[in-house]
Amino acid sequence: MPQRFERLVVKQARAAKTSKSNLVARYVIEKSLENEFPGISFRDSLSGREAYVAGHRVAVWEVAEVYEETKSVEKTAAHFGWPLVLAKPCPHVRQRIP
Amino acid sequence: MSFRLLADENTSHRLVPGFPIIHIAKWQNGIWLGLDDTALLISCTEAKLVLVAFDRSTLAWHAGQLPRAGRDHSGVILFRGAVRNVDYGYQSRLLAAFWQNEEKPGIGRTELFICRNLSNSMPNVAGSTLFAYSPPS
Repeated sequence: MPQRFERLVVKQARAAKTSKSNLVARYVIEKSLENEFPGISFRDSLSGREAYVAGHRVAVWEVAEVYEETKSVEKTAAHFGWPLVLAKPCPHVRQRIP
Repeated sequence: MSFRLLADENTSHRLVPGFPIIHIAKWQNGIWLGLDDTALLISCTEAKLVLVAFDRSTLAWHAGQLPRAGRDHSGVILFRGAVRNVDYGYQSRLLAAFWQNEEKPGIGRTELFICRNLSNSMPNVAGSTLFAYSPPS
């Protein structure tokens, strides 16, 4: 890792009160899920890191909860007023989150 | 219509027609959709809007933290887990009953979770009906 990025990661690990290796592992996991499911991102929440729909306020678990009620991606997308592509990956992401 | 309530993104777009509520996707052309919880609560305070949401996990905590940080919030109404996300009719009835300050058997007793500040102008509903939020000490 280039030194200037290592300094950055060390600083961020200190701020997150974790080790550098833990933080790097978390970045790898989150980035790989973001690449696998475009439109999904991660943020801090009270219970730790949380997947959410980028550009929106809704967490992935909230979309998955609506999907469990409707049993339909189309109805879930309609509930949020979104195109299908935003709602479709959420139930799968929820299952894959470590 | 002068809006008093702002429905968060995970609430129905069909919530209470004719009621002084607007969905966040329609409010100011949806530019508030990208705000995090704290920024949204502060923005609601500035716009004198009470936030209506489903988020039981974080919003109540943030609403409790703001007064500690010397900031105000204009109130939050949260639907409890017993209320289904897609049950628009039930959500509407709960909200209307609360907002119109009506005591109805079984309505609002366990389904709503209210975060209010003393300085805000939410309806003064009897304490037995609703749950006032106290930030953890």
